[in-house]
Amino acid sequence: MSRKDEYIGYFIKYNNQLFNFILTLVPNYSDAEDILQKSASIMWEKFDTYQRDTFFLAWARKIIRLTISNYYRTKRQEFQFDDQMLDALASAHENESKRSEEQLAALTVCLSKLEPSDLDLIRLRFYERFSVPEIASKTNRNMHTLYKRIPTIFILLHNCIKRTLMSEDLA
Amino acid sequence: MNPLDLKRLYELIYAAIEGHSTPEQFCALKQMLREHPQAVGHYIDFMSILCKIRSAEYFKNKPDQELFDRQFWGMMSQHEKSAPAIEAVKEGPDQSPVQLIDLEYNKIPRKISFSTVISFAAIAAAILFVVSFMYFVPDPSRLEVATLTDSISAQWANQNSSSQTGDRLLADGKSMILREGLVELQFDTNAQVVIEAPAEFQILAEDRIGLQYGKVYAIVPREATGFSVYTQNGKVIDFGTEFGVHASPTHETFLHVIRGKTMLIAGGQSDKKNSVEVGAGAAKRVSGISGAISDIHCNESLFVRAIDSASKFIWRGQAAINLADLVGGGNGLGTGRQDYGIGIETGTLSESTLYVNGYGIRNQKPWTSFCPVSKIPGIDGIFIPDGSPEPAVVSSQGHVFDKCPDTNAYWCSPIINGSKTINDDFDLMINNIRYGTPENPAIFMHANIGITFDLQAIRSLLPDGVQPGRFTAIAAAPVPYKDITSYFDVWIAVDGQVRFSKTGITAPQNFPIDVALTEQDRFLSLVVTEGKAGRENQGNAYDWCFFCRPELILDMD
Repeated sequence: MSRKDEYIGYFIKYNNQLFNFILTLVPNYSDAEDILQKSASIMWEKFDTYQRDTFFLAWARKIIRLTISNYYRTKRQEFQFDDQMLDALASAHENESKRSEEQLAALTVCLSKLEPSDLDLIRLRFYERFSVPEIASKTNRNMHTLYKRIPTIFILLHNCIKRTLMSEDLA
Repeated sequence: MNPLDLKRLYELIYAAIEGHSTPEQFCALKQMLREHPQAVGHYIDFMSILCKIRSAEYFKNKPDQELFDRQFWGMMSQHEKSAPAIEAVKEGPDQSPVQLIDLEYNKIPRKISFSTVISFAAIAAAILFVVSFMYFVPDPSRLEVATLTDSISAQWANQNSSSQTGDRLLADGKSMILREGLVELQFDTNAQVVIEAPAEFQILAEDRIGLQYGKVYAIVPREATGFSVYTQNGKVIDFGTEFGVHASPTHETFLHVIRGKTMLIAGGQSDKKNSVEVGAGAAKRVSGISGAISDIHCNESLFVRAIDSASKFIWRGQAAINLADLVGGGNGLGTGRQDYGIGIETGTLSESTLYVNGYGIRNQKPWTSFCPVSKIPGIDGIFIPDGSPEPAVVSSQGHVFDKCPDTNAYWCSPIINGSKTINDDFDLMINNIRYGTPENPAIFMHANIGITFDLQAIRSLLPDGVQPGRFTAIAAAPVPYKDITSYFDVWIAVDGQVRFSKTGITAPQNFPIDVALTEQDRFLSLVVTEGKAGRENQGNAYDWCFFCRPELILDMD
């Protein structure tokens, strides 16, 4: 396996976890996508420094933290997390990722319980990655209503996942 | 973290995710993460859910059968919710299909020892204790079904049972008596109700509220279909809708349906029941004496539909938001102060009456670019329109009015909700209607000045599906005195882009303004710039404009 294939393998495997890490520190969907792309190319440039017997995610997170620091330098002060907050979020993210598999299973259960229109909305927005105005025009729904609906769906999912995990813990 | 805080947190996170956060919202998000012990955990959960959806296997190759099953069960559950209740049939003794035969037998006297009696007594006492505990000491967390999400001037009859914003409410059927004010409740099913005092009500279940007297307005989304309001002599079952119920102390029930469809079942506990379907635009009365249902006129402004305590916003379904009222420090629905306005130096509401003035000291720009108006929700800020050397900034988000003409940047008067002159020698009359009054409001603006309204802040006060669809006004350029000449230009910009303009205006003249707004539009700016005289350095005297009945016309889905 070439070094490049090896890197692509890692990147595909951990893509979502890395995006999750970025989004936690930069809560802006399109900026997080840009940072992931930028980080991917920096990681490839520095891949020679990665030692095979170490944890790829930890190595990648260090590079991403630097990319994020550079990103925040270009942002207005009001839209920045300070270093203390970034550290707290990064640490909370690492702890939480340990329950990732259980959460994924619970999410699958909870998605099946959503109203079809809600399921469609989050599928179109976050899986198919249409913008909300595009979804509004595609589904002939009010854009403002959709903007208000999405956080409500996340609360429904959050509560459902919590309940599901609790009942599994008890089982 | 209570559900209200969680909702707020998730709204703030989502606004950030979409890149729509205002600096205040992002600041509020940071504050919640810093100060609320559970907020970081919920934040991490949000991101984690989003990322799992982003890559979810769930959405790949979903079999049709599963989709069919979901739709089928969805329909069944919908049907179950909307189907009429089935009355339990009381069985008589002769209905048994089994033949009963009386058998005679000899009674055998039974000897019961003292120890057996004691044992039975102990067991009975234990059972009684367990049953009592189960029935009379329920776990309160199991009964919480709603949250008090907002209130305005709420006064409860009983201090012990008074509720505050954020309190969780139990479905314990206890009477809550609201003596004054308004409260908004959000049920966990997502049904939302506004209750207007005086009212006595009970939370009966997650989908049910009892109303002894008072007014309740319910907004019921699809997932909460089946939500019901019980009164003394009627029951209203929702079929996914918005409706208001007014229960009078004399046991009359009035139902006004604003959207969708409901079922009204008239009749108390033991009375004979009548039921009727009531659709949008219809209203019914249930007699307090006979229980008879009759038609009445649907009054669309009878009920308070949405409240916001921060801005004292009380919306009764009004068709428009009055922008002059905002300039007077109000909420757009008539709470603003007549003849008050916004000072240009400070961007704050005046502390006394202001008078319109056609001329005055030629003031220079008191601040560098854009002056935020932070204390009036709905107004983003004010600015001096001057296209040179830098383009004029017209919003707190840095939108630029790139078609802004180069002006002398002098201004001489505040922006006022009114048309009163200090000598009271001028009436703003158009077609025999006097403008600049509470009934026919007007915004006074003198060149060179601009004001920006925050459409998103206004939308956030309104219920889902209601939003500004147009901006309309009559622009008036009167000449109060003989031999006065005034020249000016009027611009209406949305997010800095000109949507309407009229230049080279010479008073006297009036003209209508009608600008369509979309859901994407964030900031609406009204701008008056100097005309010919100003440009030729002859001053700005009477280069003024009155925006009569400046309104955001609301679209309702």
